[in-house]
Amino acid sequence: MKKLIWMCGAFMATMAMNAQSEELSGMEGLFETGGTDVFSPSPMIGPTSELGIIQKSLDDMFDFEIMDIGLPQGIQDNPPPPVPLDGGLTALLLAGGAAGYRQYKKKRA
Amino acid sequence: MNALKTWAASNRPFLFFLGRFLITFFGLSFLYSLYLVYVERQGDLDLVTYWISRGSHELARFLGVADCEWSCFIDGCYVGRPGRMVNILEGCNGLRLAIVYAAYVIGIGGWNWRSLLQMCIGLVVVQIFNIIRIGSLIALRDYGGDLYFYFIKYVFGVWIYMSIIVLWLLKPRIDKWLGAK
Repeated sequence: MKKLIWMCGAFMATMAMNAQSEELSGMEGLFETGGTDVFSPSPMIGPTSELGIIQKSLDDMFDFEIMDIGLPQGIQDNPPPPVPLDGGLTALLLAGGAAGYRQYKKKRA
Repeated sequence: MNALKTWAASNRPFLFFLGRFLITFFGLSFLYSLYLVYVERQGDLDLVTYWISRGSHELARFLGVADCEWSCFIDGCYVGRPGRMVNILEGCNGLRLAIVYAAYVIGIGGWNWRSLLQMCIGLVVVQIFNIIRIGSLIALRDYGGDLYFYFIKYVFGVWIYMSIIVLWLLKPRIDKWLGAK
């Protein structure tokens, strides 16, 4: 019997809560003015507001700027070939060792 | 092992040469690398590349390259007629080769005034050979055709390396001129 009373009580309480939320849902549009939600933060971040200026200044902060570095004409489209020399450095060191050995052999003879 | 010891004992002067040669090479290379790091931190171009490119520019003009331009940036210099330029980088300045030459001279002769004099003259001579190489390349690039690529790939590499080997082979004669026994 006690169980039945508890179940009835719980059912009544659930019904009451549902009715309350339905009543609250009737308050939609209460704080709206001309289609704009008063509680929305969007009108605060307009281009002229303080936050908007900060936002705008941060927008391009990490973008690369295209700069003219003043390369001579024709370099951008056709890069000139380098004229390196380092390729034969090891060979030259070995040749130096060989030339030194030859010189000492000559001295000894 | 015994054979190696016998060889080392009979070739002691050569091993001393080898030690001096390698120590001088690595020492001078280290100093040059320090200089390059310093120059890079200053946001500048190294002076050797600057002067080599300038000399090459003058030679190219002398060889008849019309409107020869010369502009230097942090990473190197551009020399030649617009559209047909040559890029002279740090690796093109020939100083590392001159260091090998100097290391050989010190290795053979030791640290004395004759070696130091030959080292200084050798550095200048190697750089003159390098200016002739790059100046001619600029002129050949201006002239056009495949000749430039043939020269850059084969002829001028051999040219600069042979100039150093010839200087090495001439060293005993130069020593005699300078009064060495």
